[in-house]
Amino acid sequence: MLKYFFFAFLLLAGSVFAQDEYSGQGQVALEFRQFEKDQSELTEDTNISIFSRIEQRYKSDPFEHVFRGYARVDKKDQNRSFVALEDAYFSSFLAEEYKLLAGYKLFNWTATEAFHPADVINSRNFDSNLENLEKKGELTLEFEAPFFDGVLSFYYFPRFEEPEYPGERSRLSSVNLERSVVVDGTDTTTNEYWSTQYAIRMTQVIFDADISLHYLNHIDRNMPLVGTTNYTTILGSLTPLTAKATPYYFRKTQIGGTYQQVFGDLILKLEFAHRTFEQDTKVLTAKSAVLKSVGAGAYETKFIENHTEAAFGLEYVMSLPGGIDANFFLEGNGIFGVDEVERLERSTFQRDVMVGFRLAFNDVMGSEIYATLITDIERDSEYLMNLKYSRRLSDNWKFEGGLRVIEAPQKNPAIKEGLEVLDGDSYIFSTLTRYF
Amino acid sequence: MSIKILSLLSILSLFVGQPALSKETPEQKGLRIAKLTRDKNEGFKGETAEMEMTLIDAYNAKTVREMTSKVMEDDKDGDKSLMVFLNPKDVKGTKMLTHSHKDNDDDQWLFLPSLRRVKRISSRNKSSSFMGSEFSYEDLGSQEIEKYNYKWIKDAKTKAGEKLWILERVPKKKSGYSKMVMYVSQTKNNPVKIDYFDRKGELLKSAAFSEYKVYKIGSKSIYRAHKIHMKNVQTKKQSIFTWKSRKLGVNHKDRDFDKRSLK
Repeated sequence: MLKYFFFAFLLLAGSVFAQDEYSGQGQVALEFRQFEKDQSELTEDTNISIFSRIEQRYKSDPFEHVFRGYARVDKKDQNRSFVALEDAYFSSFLAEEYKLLAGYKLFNWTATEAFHPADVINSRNFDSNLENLEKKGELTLEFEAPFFDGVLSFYYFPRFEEPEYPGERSRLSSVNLERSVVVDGTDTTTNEYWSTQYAIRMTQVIFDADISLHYLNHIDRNMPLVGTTNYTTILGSLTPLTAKATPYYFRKTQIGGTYQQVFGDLILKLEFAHRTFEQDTKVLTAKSAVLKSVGAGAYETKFIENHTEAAFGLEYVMSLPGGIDANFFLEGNGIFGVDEVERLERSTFQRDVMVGFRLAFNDVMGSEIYATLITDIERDSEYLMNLKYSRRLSDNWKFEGGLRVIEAPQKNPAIKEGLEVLDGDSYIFSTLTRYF
Repeated sequence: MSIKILSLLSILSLFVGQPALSKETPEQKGLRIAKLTRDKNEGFKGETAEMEMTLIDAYNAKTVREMTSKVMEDDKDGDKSLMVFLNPKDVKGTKMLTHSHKDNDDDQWLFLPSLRRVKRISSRNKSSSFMGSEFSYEDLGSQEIEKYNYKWIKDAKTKAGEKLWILERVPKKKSGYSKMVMYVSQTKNNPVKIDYFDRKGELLKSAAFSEYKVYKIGSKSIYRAHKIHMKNVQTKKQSIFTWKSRKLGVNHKDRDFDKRSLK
């Protein structure tokens, strides 16, 4: 009900100052993905979808009203079809310098290209590119105040937004999951998503450096435990009483930050997050392949262990003959404070290195090549390669095409872990977009 | 008696002053003119503008780019500017915030609207093309005089009889150019033409500044060109930058130029 009041408020707010500065834009895209053939009749090797995004912005200083959302309809896989609000907020400056914002908002707290430990606010669509997953807006009340050479922001998030999962017919980790459950204290039986969450964040510009620090207390969106709390013990073995798995999202506290500094042609990027999870409740999950070799039984009960995740990045910028801009990237990340099994369960990128480049030809059509290679430095033979070419066809039309190669051979025949879930799910893609 | 002494002193001072001016080196004179033109162009407070850039290829095919900009004058350091791209549509909403500095590299941030991401970028590589045009970021960025060495070459006149200073300007730091030769109007205190020489010392391109308008800001008269026609003599491509609307003397707020303004 509160949601409907909120939308009514946004519409009214928009109509109040619709006479002032207005801008609108959008896009409609035809997306095509062709995976390498698998032997399964249950999954779709081809995706053909229509993606659309619309954005409207009214501004009448000190007020601003922004609406942006996207939708995707897939002809082959109905589970890929969904609508997401990204931004739908109303904001106003108070006494010139203070800003109050209410509504759905998309955050981007990252400093790096591929690994994003600090950027965890929004829920993701897990049926998109792993290193830059699509996001859903977060219902937010924000107060912002100037603070030295930067800003101090206070956030209140009243609702857990459920992430989107690939459906049963998706090649990207097809799963059939129950509705997500929020673990807040010992109660894991409720599907209630309204919950008090909050954060404080400080950003500063100090000479050539951008620094941010945050404290966040919310329901985690990226590291669920998939299993059940409905289980029993039969002949000494833990046994689930349901066939369907449920993603459990735990309350967590995160202290994190980012650092970016320019050294001439080189940009240094650092990003970290220390996470402390609610641990009053354990979930029955399938045992890791590593553990299976040493213990009996296929299941164990567990909670998410506290850990630290850090990433670093270097970006080197150079101009090539013909006005071409070249950006070279070197990034790495790691999860610390837990063992290999826990690391692997927490993230697909648990100890990885990314090298990549972007060539912007700076021609009339804005031609660009972007390539990255992410390699796991802890687990053998696991890599993800991404190659993309994009070019404008006119002022309104743009073409993108490329391929993503995923190699992660299964090491234990009993279970797939980490990137192994996506082994063999390489695909080519093309997108034709009409902007308006 | 006293009038006679004053007259004598005046005449003497002319003779005393003349050798001092004649001793001014071309470098000193170049720097003096650069400072003079800077002083004449200062005091605009703030500026807003809507611009259009027409790209013309070697076969005369045309493409149009559109953008808006805000500039805020900073008495202590370089100016602050915010540019918003409007066309082509795939980059609509992309914003570039620049805090220019007199002695150091500029601070620059780029806002990528599709990701809602504010990205710190290096301002060192200014030689790359601006939106596929014959203008580089260096041509359109801050022109703080501290970043160049100046040399007066000679005085001249346009065909219309307008008096000019011809100056050579050499970048002190990394640049796409080995030098620039500027033809500066003595009445407008702004260039009417700049020749750009590549790193090999060969003429690369030439910019013609025209359609000057004069803006009254308090007691000052400030000239601004409303058209810059850049011709690349090596590729035969051209780009024409035109101002569709422009306001000077605008009182911007500081928050219009901090990182918050990008989102």
